[in-house]
Amino acid sequence: MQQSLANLRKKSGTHNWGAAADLEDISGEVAIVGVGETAFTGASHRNNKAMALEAIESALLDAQISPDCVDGLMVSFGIAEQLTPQDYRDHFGTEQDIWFSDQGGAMIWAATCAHEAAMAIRAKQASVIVNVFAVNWASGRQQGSASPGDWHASESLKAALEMPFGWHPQPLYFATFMRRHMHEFGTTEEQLAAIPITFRQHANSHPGAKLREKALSLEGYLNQPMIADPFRVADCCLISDGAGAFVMTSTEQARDYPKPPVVVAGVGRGMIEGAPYISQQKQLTATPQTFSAPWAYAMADITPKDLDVIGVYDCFSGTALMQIEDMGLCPKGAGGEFAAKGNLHFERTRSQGGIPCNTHGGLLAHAYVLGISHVIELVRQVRGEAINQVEGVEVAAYAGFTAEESSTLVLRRDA
Amino acid sequence: MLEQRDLLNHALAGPFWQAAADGKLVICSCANCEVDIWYPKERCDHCNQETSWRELGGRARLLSWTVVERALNPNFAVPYIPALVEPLDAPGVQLVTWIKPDFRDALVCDMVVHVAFDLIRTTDGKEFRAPYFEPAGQQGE
Repeated sequence: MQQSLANLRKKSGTHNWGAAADLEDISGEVAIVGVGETAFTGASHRNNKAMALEAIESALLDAQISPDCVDGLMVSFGIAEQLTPQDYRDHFGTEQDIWFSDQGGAMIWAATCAHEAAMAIRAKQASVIVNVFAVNWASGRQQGSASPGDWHASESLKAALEMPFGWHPQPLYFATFMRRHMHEFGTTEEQLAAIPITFRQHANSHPGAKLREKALSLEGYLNQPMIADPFRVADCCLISDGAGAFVMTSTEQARDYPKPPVVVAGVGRGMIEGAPYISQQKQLTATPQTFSAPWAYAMADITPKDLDVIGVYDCFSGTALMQIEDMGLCPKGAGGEFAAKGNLHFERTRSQGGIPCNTHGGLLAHAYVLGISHVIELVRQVRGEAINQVEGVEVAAYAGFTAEESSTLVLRRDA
Repeated sequence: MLEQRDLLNHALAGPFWQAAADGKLVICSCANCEVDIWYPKERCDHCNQETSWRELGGRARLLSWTVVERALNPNFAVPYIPALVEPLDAPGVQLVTWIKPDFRDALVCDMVVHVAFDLIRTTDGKEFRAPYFEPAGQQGE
């Protein structure tokens, strides 16, 4: 039975430094039926739109549907050059009407797109919706054209009150926050290291991960020089070229597809007060995952204990650590100790006290495609077809992040 | 990276930089509601009155910092130390600021720091008079 907004608000609680968005209950209405990716590389000079189309082709193949079945397209607003419905029709030689939204893509939108898709399907605006994200910041960096820091540098008050002190780009933001975490909770460098080391172990056995061939030991980690302390190179995400896509439809329709449907059980979105200025965030050692996760859990009618595997937006080791805490998977502040016990490794299941995290290697070791591959990996985990397969996955969650906003997507095996 | 004249003329942050040029630390506030408004806004969200600027005493709590060792930001020579401080007389306001690299080993979260003014120089030759902070007890050295 659908839960009211009032009920979701009550179950997810209130905070004095930010809040969850009022997302209507769409639990069980839509499912993911196909996933696809391109190869992930460094500077490749591949075109974003061409990569997006390649990822979509792969997702349609996975779903075993023809291109003319798609009547909805979701892309990212404002990040890189993204696909249009006309690009889609031109490429596939089709003529259908396509419902279009620019509130899709990666980061927080790799989660919230499922909510928007459910609303569109409910309103009969579309029935088969593709969410796609492509980025070529590795090429951009080589050419000096586009980079992840561009938006932050262009924002007027950041330019006037942060840039003059050199608090830019993003590694500096989260290094500052991570130091505070170390002060408040006693988190150590060795504990923080467990995050990049565990994700690297996952990448080492994952074909397609950019750092597949590069091992990372604790000694190797500690020997890396600081970039912006307490972050070393291994604490910071890769910069990559690549694309990912997934296909959503109603759960009812999804049961006619060849692969088992991966049902969207809950979606949450949270924002800090004072957004977009994270310098003004009143809890420097937490993330807005604090607001989005409880909302998604309430919608899915689960607790964090029910999660079997997670994908966490790991632009930096510290942001992954804080989000894991804020998802309620260990006590606040204990994330370092929790990770250092090996609890994020894919073989450390919930029954053993762990929570497998970023089993493809994440942004730190798989590729920096801003989270869309995290969702794709979780779909494979729920289907039971992942490379680093976690045993007995029923429920999975993705934690999306931009800085001032977080999102949470709960996926589950079809009943 | 903005020029000093752009900072001085910035629609919202200009008064912060004009005060800094005079050796003063100011923040935006609403005189009517007696609340600080940071980052600055033209009008108060509560009463819609035009905001004004108030001078602070200059003592603050060091919330956190990072020592930047690699030139991720090409405008600044490394090492340099951007920091976040909360003025003791403006609780809830968080200032992005800067600490001289000489103090890197003296820093502890929550220590009291105080404002000082000097030129910050960027690698491309820009310079502007800015408020930065240093550990208490270092003044006048």
